[in-house]
Amino acid sequence: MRDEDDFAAFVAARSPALSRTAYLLTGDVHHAEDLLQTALFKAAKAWHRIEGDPEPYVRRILYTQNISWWRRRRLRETALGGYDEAQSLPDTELRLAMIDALGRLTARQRTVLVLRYVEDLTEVEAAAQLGITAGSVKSISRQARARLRTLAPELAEFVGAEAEGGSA
Amino acid sequence: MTGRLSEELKQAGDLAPVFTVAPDTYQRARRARRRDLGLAVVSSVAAVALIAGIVTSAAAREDAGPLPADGQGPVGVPSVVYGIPSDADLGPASSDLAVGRSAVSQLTDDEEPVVIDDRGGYHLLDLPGFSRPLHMLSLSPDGRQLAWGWSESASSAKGTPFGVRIADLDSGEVREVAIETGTSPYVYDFTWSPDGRWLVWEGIGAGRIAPGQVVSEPVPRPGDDNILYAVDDSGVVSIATLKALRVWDGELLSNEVRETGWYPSISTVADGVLVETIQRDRDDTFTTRHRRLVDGEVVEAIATLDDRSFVSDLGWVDARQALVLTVDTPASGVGHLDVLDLSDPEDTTSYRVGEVRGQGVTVAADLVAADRPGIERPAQAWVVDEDSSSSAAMLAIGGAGGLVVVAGLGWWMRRRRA
Repeated sequence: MRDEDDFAAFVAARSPALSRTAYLLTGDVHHAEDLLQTALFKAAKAWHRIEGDPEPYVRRILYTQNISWWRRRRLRETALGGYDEAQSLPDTELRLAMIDALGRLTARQRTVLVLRYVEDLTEVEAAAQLGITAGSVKSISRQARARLRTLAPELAEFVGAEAEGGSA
Repeated sequence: MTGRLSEELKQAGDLAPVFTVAPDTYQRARRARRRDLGLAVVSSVAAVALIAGIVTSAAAREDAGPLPADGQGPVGVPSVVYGIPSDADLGPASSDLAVGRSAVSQLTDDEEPVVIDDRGGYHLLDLPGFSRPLHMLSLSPDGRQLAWGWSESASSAKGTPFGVRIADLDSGEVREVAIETGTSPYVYDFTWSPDGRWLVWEGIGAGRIAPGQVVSEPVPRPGDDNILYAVDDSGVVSIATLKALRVWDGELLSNEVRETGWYPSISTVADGVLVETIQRDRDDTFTTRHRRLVDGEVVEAIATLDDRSFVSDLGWVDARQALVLTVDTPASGVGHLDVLDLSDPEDTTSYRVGEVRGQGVTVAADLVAADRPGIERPAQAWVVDEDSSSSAAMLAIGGAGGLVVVAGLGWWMRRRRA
C-alpha cells in the first residue's frame, strides 16, 4: 500500500511538469496525454524497483516512448499538418507558431530540442538519455532548428542562425 | 540566441494542460506485472521444452546411429545398411566404376545398384546390361571387385545373349564373361572364393569363372530349389542341396546323400574346411557341421543365433569365422550381420556386426573383424526410421508449444494496447 501511496503522491506533485514536457515532446494534446499515461503506467509496473527520485526514470520513459511511437507512426506523422487547434490554448501568436512548428518536427527532433532547451541537458546528457551519441544530438538539434526556421520564419530571430549550414 | 529558444520553448510548454492521470493506473500496472510474470514463466517452460525437444531430437538421431555418410569416415562395414528409398538423392548413376574399395553392395527400392565405399560414401551405379529381376550383383570379399549379371535386353527369353561382368573398383576396368548355355539369361546369385579370385554364378544354369578368365566353365546344377554353391581358394566347388552334398572340380569328386529334413543354410569353403550350418525342424537350433575336405573329418556343434530362424552366408572373416545374415523370417525386412566363430567345434559362438534393412545386400567380409565390427556412420538425409520420426514428433510438440506461447503473448499485448 505504501508504494501505491507514494505513486499517487508523485503523480499529484509532478503531473503539471510532466504534462508540459509530454506536450512539448509530442506537439499534440492527445498524443501528450497518451504519452504521459503510458509513461506513468510503465513506471508503476516497475515502481518497486525504483530507488530514489522516480522523476528521471519517468522522464526517460517519456523520451524513449515518444521516439518509439514516432518510429511506428512515421508515415502518418510526417503527413501531419499541425497541432490540434481546437485543443490548443493560444497565448501569443509567437507561441502558437512555435507549437505549430514543433508539431511538424519529427519526434526525434522535438525530443532533442526539449532535452536541450527545456530540460537544459548538455549534449552528452541528452545523448545518454536517448541512448545515442553526443554527435547525433548535435546534428539532430541543428536539423531541428533549421526546420523550425523553414516552417516558421518568424521564429528565426531566436532559433538562431548558427545552424544555417545544417540540412533543412 | 539559443537562450531565447529555450525561453520560448518553456513558455510554449506553459500552454499545455495538466493531464488527469487515471486513478487506477497503479492497480492496472500491478495486474499487468503479475501477467507478465506468468507469461515469463510459461515462456520459460515452453522454451525449455523446445530446447529439450531439439536436443533429444539430435540425440535420437545420433542414437539411430549413423548420420550422413560423406565418404570420409573410418574404414569398415557400416553398422546399419539402410534401405534406400526411391526418392533418395544419390545424384545421377555413374558409369565410372572406379569408386575404390567398397564395403557393401545393395539395391535401392527401385532395384538400382548401389555400393557403399569403405568410408561410407554412397555410389549409385550405371552397370551395363544389368536388369532386374534377371540379374543380381555381388561384392568380392576384399571389396575391390563387383560382379553382376548382364544381358543384351531386358527379355528373359531363351537365347538372349547374357553373361557376367566383373569390375575392378580401383581402376574401373570391366572384365566381360560371356556365357554359352542357351538358357534364359538369369544370373541371380554369386559365390566368391575366400580370396576373391574364383567366382561361381548361378542362374538357370551355373558356372565357374577362373581368375582373370573371360569364359565360364559350366558347373553341375542339380534340379533342386534349395541349392547352395561354394568355391574354395583352389577353385573346388561344393554344391549343397536338401538331398546331397557334391564336391566338383572339373569332374564330380564326391556325392554324399544327405538325411532328409535338413536344410542347408551355409555351405561354404574356407581354408580347406567345408562348413554347413543346418537347421533341423526349424526349432531355432542350428547344428553346425565342419567337414575338412582334406581328410573328410566331420565335427558337429550347436549354434543358437539369437532365436533367428534363417541364415545365409555372406563370406568369411577369417578361416574360422563365417559372416552370415540372419533374419527372423524370409519376408522380414530387417536382418542382422552376425559372425559365427567356429574356432571351437564344441562351442560355436557368435557376435553381432550390424543391422541390414536394405535389399540385395552383399558385404566385403574382409572389412569385418572382431575388433572392428560395424562402423557407426552418420545417416543419410533420406533415412527414415522410428527414432527420427519420434524425435520429429518431439520437435513438433516443442515447436507447437512455442507457437502457443508466442500467440498468447501477442494476444496479451494487443489486449494491453487496447
